[in-house]
Amino acid sequence: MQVRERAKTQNHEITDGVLAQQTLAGDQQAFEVLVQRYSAPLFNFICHFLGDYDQACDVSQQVFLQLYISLPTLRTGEPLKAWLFQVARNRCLDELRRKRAIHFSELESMNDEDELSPLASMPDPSPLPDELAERHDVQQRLQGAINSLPPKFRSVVLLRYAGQLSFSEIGKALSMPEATAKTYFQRAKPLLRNALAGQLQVSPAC
Amino acid sequence: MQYTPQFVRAADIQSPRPEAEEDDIDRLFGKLQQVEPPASLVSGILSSISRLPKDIHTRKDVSDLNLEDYIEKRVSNEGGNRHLNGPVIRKDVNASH
Repeated sequence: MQVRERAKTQNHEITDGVLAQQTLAGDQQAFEVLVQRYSAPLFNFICHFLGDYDQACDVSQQVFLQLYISLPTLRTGEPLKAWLFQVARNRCLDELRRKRAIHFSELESMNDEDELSPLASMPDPSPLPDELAERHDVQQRLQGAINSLPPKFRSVVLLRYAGQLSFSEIGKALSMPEATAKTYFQRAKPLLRNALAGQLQVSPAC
Repeated sequence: MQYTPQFVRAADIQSPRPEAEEDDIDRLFGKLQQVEPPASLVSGILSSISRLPKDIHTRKDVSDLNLEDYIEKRVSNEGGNRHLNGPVIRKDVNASH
């Protein structure tokens, strides 16, 4: 147990660049450490972006395959986090475009309630205690507020809240200056506030 | 008036500053659910990697590769997106443990 903990601590100390080099030298365990390092936050981001758990699994796999293939061409001097989220976002957009093309006729007949992502609107057949029901309701409203944002703001907000990225990392992931990422985020906040006003304990934007 | 030297620790200068003050919207979205990946995700990724051509890192052109051919498609045997209603772990729940 202690040995495993020690190995975990040591893995945290190894930079992405070193792990990338070790992978290229044939060390598959080094790549596994990279996957362990980023799979959970990436998956969470992708899942919120797509609103589809199974599809998030497929896209997560694609992102790490892309990472593995791209290792020889990546600059390994800096962390891979922003690059991974950039690829994840692009893959998500591809999936949503493809979905839209397939389900165009369905989308046309959507009413307001249906515009929530499946993640937000998924019915839960099992009986929930009051507290859990309330949490579920809060999640629906938060996801609904994010989904109501214009796409350029939505990416920034999801990278920030679901991906836990800094503005510097968001800037790199979206190929924009850090200041622009901050501005988009600040502009998105009143929209989120208005979307949630009267529903949760937030005051409307002035 | 006597000059009083102010001692400033390096840590005070070098410690990262918070990027912005947290407001009620930040606190609210701090409750956004953390959707946990299935335990099989990591093994699925590694399995996909093992199916790639062995010369993948020495190839000059990889544009002919279709990544979808290599991923392990997830098949829900127990009904749709059941995980969305299952072990979703909230950050605040995690923090309390």
